[in-house]
Amino acid sequence: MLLFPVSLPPSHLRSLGAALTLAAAAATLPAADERAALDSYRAAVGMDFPQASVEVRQRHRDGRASAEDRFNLAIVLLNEQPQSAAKLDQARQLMAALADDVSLPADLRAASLYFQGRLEQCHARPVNPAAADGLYARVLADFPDSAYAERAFVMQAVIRQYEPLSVAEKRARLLALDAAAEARLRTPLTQRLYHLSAGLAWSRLLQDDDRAYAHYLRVHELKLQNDYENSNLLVRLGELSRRRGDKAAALKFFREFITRFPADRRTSLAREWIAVLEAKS
Amino acid sequence: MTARRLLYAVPIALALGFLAWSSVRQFRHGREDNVLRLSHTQAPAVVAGFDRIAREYEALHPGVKIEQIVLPPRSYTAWLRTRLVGEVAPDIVELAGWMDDAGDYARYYRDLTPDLLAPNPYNRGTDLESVRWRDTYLTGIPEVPNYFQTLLAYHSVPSSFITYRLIYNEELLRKLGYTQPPRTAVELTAMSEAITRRAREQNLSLIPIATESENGRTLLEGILRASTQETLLRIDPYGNWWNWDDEVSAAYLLGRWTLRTPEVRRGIDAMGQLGRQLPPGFMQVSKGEGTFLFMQGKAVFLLAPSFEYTLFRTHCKFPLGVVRVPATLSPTDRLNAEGNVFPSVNLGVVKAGKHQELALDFLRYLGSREGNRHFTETALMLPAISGLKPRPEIAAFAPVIAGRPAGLAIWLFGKADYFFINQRLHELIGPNGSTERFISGLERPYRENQLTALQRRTFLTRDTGRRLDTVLAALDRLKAQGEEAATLQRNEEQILETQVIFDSRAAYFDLVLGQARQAANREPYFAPLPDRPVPLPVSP
Repeated sequence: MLLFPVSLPPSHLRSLGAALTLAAAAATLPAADERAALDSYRAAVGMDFPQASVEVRQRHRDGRASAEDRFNLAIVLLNEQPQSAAKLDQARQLMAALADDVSLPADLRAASLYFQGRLEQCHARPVNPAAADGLYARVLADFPDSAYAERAFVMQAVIRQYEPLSVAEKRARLLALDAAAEARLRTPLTQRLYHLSAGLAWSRLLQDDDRAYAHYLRVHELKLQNDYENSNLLVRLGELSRRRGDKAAALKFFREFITRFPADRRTSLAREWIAVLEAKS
Repeated sequence: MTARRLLYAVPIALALGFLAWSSVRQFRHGREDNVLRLSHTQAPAVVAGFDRIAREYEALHPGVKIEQIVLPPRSYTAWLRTRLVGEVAPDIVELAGWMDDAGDYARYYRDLTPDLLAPNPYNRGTDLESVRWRDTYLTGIPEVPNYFQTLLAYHSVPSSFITYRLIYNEELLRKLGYTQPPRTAVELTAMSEAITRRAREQNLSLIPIATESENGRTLLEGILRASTQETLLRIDPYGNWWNWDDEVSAAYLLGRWTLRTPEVRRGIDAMGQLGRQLPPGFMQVSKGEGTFLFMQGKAVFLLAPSFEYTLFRTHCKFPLGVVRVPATLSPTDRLNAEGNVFPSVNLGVVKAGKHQELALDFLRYLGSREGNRHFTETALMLPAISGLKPRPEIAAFAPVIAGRPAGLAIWLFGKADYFFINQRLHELIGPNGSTERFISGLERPYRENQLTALQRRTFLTRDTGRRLDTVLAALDRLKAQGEEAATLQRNEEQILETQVIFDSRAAYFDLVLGQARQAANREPYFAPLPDRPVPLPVSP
């Protein structure tokens, strides 16, 4: 009562209170929705997919699904158990509609297109690399300045590296991709991703130690984050240097490998090669 | 007392009893704010180890109490599952048995990644003070069930590591006229032959090697992997010196090695010779039977894991000898190196537990140099933390990283593969078995099996990247909406690297399968292996 200098009858006060409560609730409603969407994303980041699914489906059932919620549902459907072709179809449709809706923010549209590409590349049964390639091409054409464009370039390269081609055609393909990557990729992350994929492709497909080495060297310079793969990278750089007769580089990489991975099953062989290479000098 | 009185007295007594029990329970629960519960399946020596560090931890943290729940291994997985689903699991649990879906580890167990990437405060005052906790473990714990490549996260820490050794009855070996244990697979075979002959001639109840469950197969596989060390390096497309077995399968389908490659054939031949000395039906012997025979003094040798050595020391009434598993064909050959040994007694913090922070702190103590020394010395196990030496009694089991990276095996794809090959092993080691009969009988079905198995593996390989898509997309959106990346504890760069590694590997396998299934006269997709410098230094 002290808050209201003008005296009002109790029934009016009750009405006023109810109105204020309703107004406050209305004001907090979008914030609560937003929080719920973020909670679902957080559950997904923590790999608690069932929880992410519960949260996002609840909002769809309530008929409150925003564009963000539709994207959220689409990415949850990619990994929701039990998996089914119908769920992938639903995810595909949601992402396609979001990508085509020009009223939406560009980052959400680019994300929808990129992850639709991922759906075709990895989730579809059987996988559909040609469709994924087309979707990545659209990301590159429609959203050339977004972070997704560079990611799309790398994923498209992975598809193109492993197309069934003869050895001669494959060499031409890998060289063309190397040149395109050099011209297109600007961020250290995507450069590292590309060089990693290219090094593996030159090794696996063409057994070309020189080309593979050049790519692995760039990956090392750009600082690979995956610890597990780092041990392989250092052994590879040491071994390929040895094969190429570059003694100084071989010693450098073998020593770095032993220092960083002292309990690895390959350290003993690295020590043996160090002894042999040192004896040669 | 009349019947009528009894009619009232019994229910009243029962009700009062229930009330008293319930009150005690309530009272105990009320006081259990600081009780940490730890469940595992380990032997009494390990229970004693946990007991020791539990008391030490309690002394460091007055008011905290640690209780162990020890269950038989057979019922543990089902028990734990039920507890996890019901959100009534203990605070710390041993990750024994496998969950069907790797995502379940993320669902039920705390992500220990940020904790493992920071120094362990219990290492203060030692040279490990500023070392990341993860890097204080001997191997850096890069594999399941500690680190999950598919989840890019750590969900448990080991308390010890496991190695295998050939243990033997010293007294019996001496009585049989041997002054030293076998150094090579060839010597083990020759000794075993002589022991079998003598047992038959003198009607002794004695066998050379006791086996149980997978032991016999492991022994044979070690021989093949030792004889093919150089082969693996030759077929390795990357210069990695080591590869997952599915890459070995891909190399097989590309014709880079066959069952008739000289080193492979020689290894299979040596496997056959030793296999003929193993007890008939050795693949079907269940866990415990071989151990029992050995303890009774009815077998000279047994392949034993380090964590069971205490059991043998306690129960065997004869002196024990321990030697590295003799897998090479000649004393000048190099044994398979033992880096990346298996983690043991892996403990995770349950997400739904009441005392997550306390549980984590206890694991830090167990995973500190001091805590781990006390635990492993009492449990007589191999230490998990670098800079610690095992007790002299178990020193022979300490991992030896000297040696060469192991070569290839013909068992490449887990249990389905084991069954497929094991059911044909009689053609190698049976009464009418021979190397040629085994290889010629296996060649065609082996190729078919590799095609099917690699196809299945390709799907699983792709699954890693698939799972990470949902994580990455959610991470992108949270960042777009202003969420601090650092608080999300996920590294976008690691996710993308992992996707590139696994997706390209799956695409590679698809291409291998495509080539393997196409007509022989079609142009190949892969360049042949070039002539390269020797893959191994010349042995002194």
